[in-house]
Amino acid sequence: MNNDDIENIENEQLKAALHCLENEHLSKEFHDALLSLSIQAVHDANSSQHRTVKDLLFNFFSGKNRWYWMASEIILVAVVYVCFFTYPTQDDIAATDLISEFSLATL
Amino acid sequence: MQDNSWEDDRTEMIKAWGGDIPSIANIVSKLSKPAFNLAHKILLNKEDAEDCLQDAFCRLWMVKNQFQGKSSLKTYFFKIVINSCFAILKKRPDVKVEDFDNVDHDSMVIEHHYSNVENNLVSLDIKNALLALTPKQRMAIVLWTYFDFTASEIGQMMEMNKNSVDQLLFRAKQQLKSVLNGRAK
Repeated sequence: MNNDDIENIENEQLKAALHCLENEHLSKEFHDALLSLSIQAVHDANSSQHRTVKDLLFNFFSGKNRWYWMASEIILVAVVYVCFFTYPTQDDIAATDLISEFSLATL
Repeated sequence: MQDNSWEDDRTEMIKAWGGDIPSIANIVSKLSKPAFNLAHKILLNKEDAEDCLQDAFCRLWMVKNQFQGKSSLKTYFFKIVINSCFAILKKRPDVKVEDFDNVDHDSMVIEHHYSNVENNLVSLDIKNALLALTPKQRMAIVLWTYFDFTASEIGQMMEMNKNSVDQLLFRAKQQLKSVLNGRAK
């Protein structure tokens, strides 16, 4: 017998000795509990996936993005104000023309 | 042949992830018993093994499509169980992080982490012999002895290379032989 054979025999003996360790049995109740837990976990995983788009939108408008969003809103309001309240109306233009004409006439 | 079986595992997992209850039941039945045996032999405590299994199943279902069918589902799940065992062992007050690699024979033999005193003496001797190993050695020897995994498969599960596993197994065998022979005398 060479060294490998001796090692193999010793390994088999060790395995046989270790196999004397009694197996602990998994109870049916625990198996059923694992099944319920698994069904619930799969359900939760699937529903969290369906929530993803909503979560993305929510996350976008909250947290750090909220400040970008608020800044862009302020800029938008400012632009609207400039466009609608400071843009010269027809009356303003007419008045300006009148003043110009008057000034020219007096000269 | 093996590839087909892994492909079947993946198909079954996809169905289960889709919420198919018979597939979930089939997977739980197929994996729970061997995984429980693995966890119990590593942790040597029934309650811890049950906690480990619950955690492992939660991790299995948590991330969809993580299992790619590159190994058998059993191997994939055993890897999760082993990580869960590591987490439980790290929480034990008598196991320090450095114990994972270094053997401290005197302090690790006969600890209080199993309560089934009614087990026969042979079982108790083997439990003590297994407790005398470092957690990593115990994991490797349990996978080799009770589940007939090769060193490369064990390496895949424990995220180690084959040579390290061979060394781990060699030391574990020497240690077990000396402990069991000592007790036999």
